[in-house]
Amino acid sequence: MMNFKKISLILMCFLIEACSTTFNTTSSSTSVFKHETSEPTFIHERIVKSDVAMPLNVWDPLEGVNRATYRFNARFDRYVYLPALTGYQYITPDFVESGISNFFNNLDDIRTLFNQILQVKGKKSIQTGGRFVTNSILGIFGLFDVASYFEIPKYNEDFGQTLGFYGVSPGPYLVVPILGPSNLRDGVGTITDSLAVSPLVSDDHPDRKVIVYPLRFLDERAKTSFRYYQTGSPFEYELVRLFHSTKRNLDVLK
Amino acid sequence: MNSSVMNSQRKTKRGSSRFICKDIGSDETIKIGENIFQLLALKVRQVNPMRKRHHIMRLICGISVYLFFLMLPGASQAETYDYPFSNPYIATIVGTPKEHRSDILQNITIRTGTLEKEVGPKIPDIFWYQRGLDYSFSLQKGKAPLVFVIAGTGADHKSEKNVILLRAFYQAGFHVVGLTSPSHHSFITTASRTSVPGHMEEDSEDLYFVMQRVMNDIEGEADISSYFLTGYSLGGAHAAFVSKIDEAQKAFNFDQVLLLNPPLSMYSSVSKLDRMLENIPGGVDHFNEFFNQLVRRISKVYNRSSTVEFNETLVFDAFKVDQPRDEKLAAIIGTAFRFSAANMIFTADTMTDFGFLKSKEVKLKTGDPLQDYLRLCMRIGFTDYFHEFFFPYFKKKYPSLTRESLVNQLSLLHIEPYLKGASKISLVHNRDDVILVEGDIGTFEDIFGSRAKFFPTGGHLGNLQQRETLAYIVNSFKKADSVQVVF
Repeated sequence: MMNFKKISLILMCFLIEACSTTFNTTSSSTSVFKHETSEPTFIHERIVKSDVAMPLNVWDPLEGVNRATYRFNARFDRYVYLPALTGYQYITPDFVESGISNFFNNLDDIRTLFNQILQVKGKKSIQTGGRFVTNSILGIFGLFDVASYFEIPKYNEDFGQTLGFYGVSPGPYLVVPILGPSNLRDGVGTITDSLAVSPLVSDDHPDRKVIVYPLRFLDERAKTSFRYYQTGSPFEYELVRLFHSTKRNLDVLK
Repeated sequence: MNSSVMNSQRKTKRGSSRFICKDIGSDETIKIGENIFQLLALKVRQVNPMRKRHHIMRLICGISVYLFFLMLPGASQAETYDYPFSNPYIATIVGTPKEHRSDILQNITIRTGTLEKEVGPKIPDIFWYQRGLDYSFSLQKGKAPLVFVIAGTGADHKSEKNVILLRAFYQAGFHVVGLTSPSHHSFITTASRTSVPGHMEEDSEDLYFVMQRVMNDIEGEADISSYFLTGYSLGGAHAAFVSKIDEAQKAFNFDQVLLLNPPLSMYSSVSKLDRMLENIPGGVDHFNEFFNQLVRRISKVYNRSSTVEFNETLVFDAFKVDQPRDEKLAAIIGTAFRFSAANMIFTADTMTDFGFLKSKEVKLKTGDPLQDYLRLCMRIGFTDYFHEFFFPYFKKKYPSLTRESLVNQLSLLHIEPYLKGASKISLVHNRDDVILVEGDIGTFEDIFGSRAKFFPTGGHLGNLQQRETLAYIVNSFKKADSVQVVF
C-alpha cells in the first residue's frame, strides 16, 4: 500500500498546482477544489488523452440496425419469449426440464466434436467423443448427463471458433433477431453448423420438428438468465457488445 | 501481504474439517439435543406402563433442556467469528466462501411489483424502456412485522446483497420488501423528483414516498404488526435519514433501524473510492490498459447466463475464483465502483440536460450510440460529479450553499444529535471496511455507543453472508420482537 500513498501524494501535488483556489473540508483529509464556475469544466487533459488508445473498441458499422434489432429482441423477449418460457416451466416438472436440457446439450457435443477435429484438437476431441458415447448410451439418448458424473470435461466449439482458429477475423458485430449478439463470422458459423452437423436439421420427419424446435428455443432461453434492460446500466448495449465480443475472441484462443 | 492472502486461501481449503471442530454453534448443540432424545427414547422403551406419567414429566423436562440448549448458540455465536480473509480488499471482492455461509439462506419466492412514474423530469427517448420503479416483496401467511431493505450504491431491489437480506429476514418470520437505491438508473429516471442523486435528505424523502406507495400496493395482502428498516452501504445511510423523516411524519413508526456498513461521510468515502484508481499499475494514465485487462477478465467469466447486473458485482464476480495480485486490489475495487458511478452520472445528466457530459441542447434519441459517453464516464468519478454537477445544481436551488456545507449535509454527522438520541437505531460495521477513512470507527463508537457492533474483519460487506454476521443482523431485529432465532 506504500505505492498507493506515494501515487496519491504525487497526484495531490499536481492538482494543487493546477488549481487556483484550494480549501479543506472537515470530512476528508485534503481535498482540492477548483474555483467555482457556472459552466461545468472538468480537467479534460486528465480524462481524455489524445495519445492513448481508448478502450471498448468493437467494430460495429451497422450500429443503427443492430440497436433496432436489440430493441426488437427486448420487446420480443418481454411479450413472447418470456411468457412462453414461464408457461413451459409451469407445465413441465423440473426433472423433465433438466432431461430435455441434457438431451440438447448432448446433441451440441456432436457440433463440438466436429469442430474440435477440424481444429486438430486431439485430446479434447477424444474427451468430447467419450462424452457423447457415454451420455448417449448410459445416459439414455443424452437425457442424463452421466459424463459429468464421471468428470469428463465439457467443451463448447462451433464453426465460428473454427474459422477464428484459422485466422478469420470476427467481422462486424451483429445483433441477430431473437438469438441476440453475434458477428459476421459467428453468424456464418452458426448457419454452417446447423446445416452440416445438426441432427435436428438433417432429421426430415416433420412431426418431430414441430415439437423439437420450440423445445430447443425454450431450453435455450431457460439457460439464459439475462433479462433485457434489467442490468441497471444505460450502457447495456455497449457493455453486452464489449463483453460478448471479448468473450468470443478468448474462446477462439482457447 | 501476498503471503497472508495465501494463508487465508489455504485456510479456506482446509477449512471444512477444522471449522466443524471449532464451531460451537448449531452443529454441536444439535448433537447434544439428539443425545437427550436418544436417552429419552431408550428409557421410554424400558418403561413400565405404571410409571408412564413420570416419564412424560421426564420427557417434558428433556424437551425444555433441549430447548435451552437450542437457545444457547444464539448468545454464544456472537462471540465466535470465523471469517477467513484478513485482507479487507480480498474480503470486499471475494465475499464469503461457501463453507462459511449461513445455512438459513434458502430460496424463497420473491415477487416483483412496479410503481408507475409519478414525479420528476420526463423520461427522454433514450431511456424508452423505463416505465416505473420495481420493488421486491415476500409476505408471510399470518401476522408478522415487516422489514424494508434499501440497496447500496447503484444496486437495485433484487441485487445479490439485497436478496441475501430478504431471504434471511423472511426465514426469520418477517414480511420483507426490497427497495432500489436512489443512485440506481431506474430510481433516477422514475422515482426521483430531481433526478440528481446523492443528496441524502432529498433522496431519503423520495425513498420514504416510494415506501408509502409500496405499502399502498401490498397492504391488502399482508397482516403487518410493526415496521423495521435496514439498508447496506449507501442504503444504510439512507436508512438513518429515512428514520429521521419518519419521526416527524410517522407513516411507519419504525420499531428498529439497522445500518449495515454505511459510509460516515459520503464525500470522504466516494473520494476514497475514486482515489483507489490511483493504484493502477503505472498510474492513472494506464487506465485504458488496465481497463482492457479487466474487460478480458470479466469476459472470461461472462456469459449470458451468469451476469445480470452491470455494476461492481460484475467485476467482483470476475475475480471471485482466483484472487488477484495484491497491489491491484484497490484499483479493482475503484474501477468496479466506476461502473456504478458511470451509470449514475450519465443517467442524471441525460435526465436533467444539465450539460455535464453532453451539451444541453443535445437530446439523445432511441438508438443513439453511447460509447463515447461510456468511455468518458469511466474516466470521471464521484468527486468530479460532486464538484461540477451536483454542487452547481444545488447551488442554483439554494444560492447560499457552499461546497463545504454540502459535503457536511451528506454525512451522518449532519443528523448526529438525532442518531445519538434514537435508541431504535443500531449499527453493524467492520473495523477494516475499505470505504471508511481514519477516525470514522471512533466517530461511530461515539455516536452509537453500545448500539454499534464491529466485526474485526470483512472489508466492505464481504462478510454479509457469514454465519455469525448474518445471525447478528437478523437477531438484532428479533430481539426487539422478543424472540431469538437460532441458526
